[in-house]
Amino acid sequence: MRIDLEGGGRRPWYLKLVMFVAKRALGFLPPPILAVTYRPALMRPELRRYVLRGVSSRGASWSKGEAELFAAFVSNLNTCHF
Amino acid sequence: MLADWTTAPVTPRQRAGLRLVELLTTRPRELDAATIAELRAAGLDDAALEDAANVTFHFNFINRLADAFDFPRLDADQRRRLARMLDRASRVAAGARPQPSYARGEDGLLRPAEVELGRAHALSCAGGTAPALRRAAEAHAARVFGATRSAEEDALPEPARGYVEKLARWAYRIIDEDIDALKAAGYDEEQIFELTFAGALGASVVALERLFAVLHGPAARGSSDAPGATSAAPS
Repeated sequence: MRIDLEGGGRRPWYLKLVMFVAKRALGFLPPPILAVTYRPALMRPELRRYVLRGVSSRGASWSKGEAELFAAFVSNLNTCHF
Repeated sequence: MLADWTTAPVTPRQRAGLRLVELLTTRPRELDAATIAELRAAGLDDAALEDAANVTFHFNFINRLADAFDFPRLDADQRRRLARMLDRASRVAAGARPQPSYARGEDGLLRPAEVELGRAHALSCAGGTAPALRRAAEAHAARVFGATRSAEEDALPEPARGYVEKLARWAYRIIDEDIDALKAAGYDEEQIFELTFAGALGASVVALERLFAVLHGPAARGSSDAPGATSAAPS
C-alpha cells in the first residue's frame, strides 16, 4: 500500500487489540478496516454506524444480494477492483 | 449485468435501484423529482431510496481510499470472510435508522443525520492537517460533482488540489508518483490520509445531498428553492 495503514496512524490501544484479534480470526487484516481505524478521531461513531448500515442486512430495504449487486455496480462504475 | 442495468436480467425494482445507483455515482446533480417519481412507481419507497444511496455512499467512499492507497486485491475466500465479518459487525453496531433520517447542516444542506454529524466533525476536529485544508479538500471534491460549496471553501493549494481532483474524478488513475509528489511538498502520511479521507468524503456525499434535497427539501413540498438547487459550477 502507498501509505503504512497497518503500522502508522493513531490507533488507541483498544483498536490495536481489535486489529490483533481480527488478524488472528481472519488470517489477514482487511484494508477497509485498516483505513477506517487509521485515524479514528476523524470518524465519529455515528458516521461509522451509517457506513456499516450500508452493508447490513438487518432491517434494510434491500436483500443482502441486492446490496452486494449495488456495491459491485458502484465499484464497476468507478473502475475499482475493490 | 454490471455493464448495462437497462438490459440486466433483474426485477423492475432492482432495475430501478441500479438506475438510482448509477445516477448517484456518476451524475448526482441530474437526480430530480421526475426521476424520483419514476423510481417510486417501480416500487422504491423513501427507505429503499435512502438505503440504496447508503450503499452507494459506502462504496464511492471506500473505492477512493482503495485506489488512492492501492489496497491489495483480496482473493475470493478473503472477500467472503470480510463480507461475513462486516455483516456481523453491522448487525451489532449499525443500529436502526434515526428518525427523522436527515438533518440540516450549517450550510443549509440536508444530509443523513449521522453523515451530517460525522462530516461536520471530520472537517473541524484537531488532526495532522488544519481543518481548513480538510474543508478545502472536501469542497473541491464535492464541486467536481456540481455540489454547492463556496469558492472560498475550495481554496486548495497545489499539489493537493490536483491530487484531490484526480481522487474525485478518476481515483483509479492515482499512481505512486501522486503520493510521492505530496510527500515532496511536505505532507506526511497522516496528512495524506486526512486529505484523502476529506476528498473521498466530498466526492461521495454529494449524492446524499442531492437525494435528500429532492426527497425532503423545499422542492419536495412544492417550492423551487431546494437546498443545492443553485449549484456552483463544477470546477
